[in-house]
Amino acid sequence: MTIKENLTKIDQYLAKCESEDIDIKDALSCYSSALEIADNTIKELNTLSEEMVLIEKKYDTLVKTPISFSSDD
Amino acid sequence: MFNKEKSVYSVSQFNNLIKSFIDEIPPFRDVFLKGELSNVKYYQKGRQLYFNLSDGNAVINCVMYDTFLKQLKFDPKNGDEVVIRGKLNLFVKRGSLSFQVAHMALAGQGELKQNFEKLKAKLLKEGLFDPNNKKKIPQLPTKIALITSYDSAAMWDFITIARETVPSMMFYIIPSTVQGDSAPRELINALDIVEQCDDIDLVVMMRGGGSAEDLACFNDEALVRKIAECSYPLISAIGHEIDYTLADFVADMRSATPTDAAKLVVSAYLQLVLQLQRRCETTFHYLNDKIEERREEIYQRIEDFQSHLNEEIVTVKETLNHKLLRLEQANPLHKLRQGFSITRLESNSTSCKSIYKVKKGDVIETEIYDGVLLSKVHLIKEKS
Repeated sequence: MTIKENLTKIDQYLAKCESEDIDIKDALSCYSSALEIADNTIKELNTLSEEMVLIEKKYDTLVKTPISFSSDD
Repeated sequence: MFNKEKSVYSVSQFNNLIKSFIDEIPPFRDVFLKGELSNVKYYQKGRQLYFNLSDGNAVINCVMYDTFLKQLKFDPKNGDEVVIRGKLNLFVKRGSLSFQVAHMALAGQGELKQNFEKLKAKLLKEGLFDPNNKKKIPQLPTKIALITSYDSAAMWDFITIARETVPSMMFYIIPSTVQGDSAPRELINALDIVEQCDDIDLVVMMRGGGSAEDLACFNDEALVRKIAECSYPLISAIGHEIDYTLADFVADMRSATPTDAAKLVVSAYLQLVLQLQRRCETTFHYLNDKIEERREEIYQRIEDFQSHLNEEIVTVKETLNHKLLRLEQANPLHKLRQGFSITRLESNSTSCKSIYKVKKGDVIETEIYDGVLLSKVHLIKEKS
């Protein structure tokens, strides 16, 4: 699932947990599921940050390497 | 083969015999000669003057030594018509004849030169030298007809210099004598051959330096007229810097020497190469600049994207934290920690959310934070 879909799912579980009609067992189940999705979402966000750093380093090297033509080429 | 009555001489003996004969014969001992000077050259730091004397049909080698040179009242030059007095001399060792000059004086304008000027004026009047009639020399010729003495220094100088710049240049060599009585006819024949070619760009007629007599064939009227009729552009490259023949005047262009003619022919190629080099350099600089611009642009866009993404990540994390807080608040276990409990019917484990779901005597489970209490309903009271 995308991060956006994860957030939507968490909202759905929250709505259930905060509902007056929910059974305590269902509430506990929704709570656990929501926590799990939140954990996974945080991990994905951290991975994204790390990948962005790698990309920046890669392009930093590429972009800063001078390319020059000469009449001998 | 050998007649017993004839003497057999050594070369020295024979040469000495000739010398003694010459020295004794009055016409050879003191004689006046008239003719035109050519090939005038000083040697031994100006103490000896060598020249040829010609009447247009024959030539004699002459020398004038320092003792007599001092008495000269003019500076002898090629073309001067002179009268000389001296004697014939044989150099025994070399076996060569020369005329030793004791006196020399100007006799008026040289006949050869006179004839040259006369013909030049005639052809000029006819318009053969008119600049408007000159054909344009092609800038980038690829096939050139060379009319010259075959295997001569002039021929190889031209080919070598031309091919240094344009290795692919093609040459049609049309050999011809370039001096003497037969030269005009051969040169005209060479031009006839040129007219039969249909794929040449340029004709070059050339020879190396020489005396005025050597170059005289290029003043031949028939040859000059033939050059004027040539349908291809023609460059003359005859003799040295200062030598001008009628062929030079009628040619479409004149070069001082065969070497200069070769340089002239390839000059446009050199210009083209220089222009191409300059254009390449300009293009390279332009491309380099453009690449640098785009690199900067790409780098900026990567930075912008990274910045935007980081902002998005921070926003999402904040949203997530907010939801986690709400989740914690909604955590049923959190309620139990606060002192709330959950009551269920032991019989079916359903939550008791209403007094009307239980009756007196039912066994109920009360889940508190750290355990479960079992109890029996003793009294049910409705909330007032």
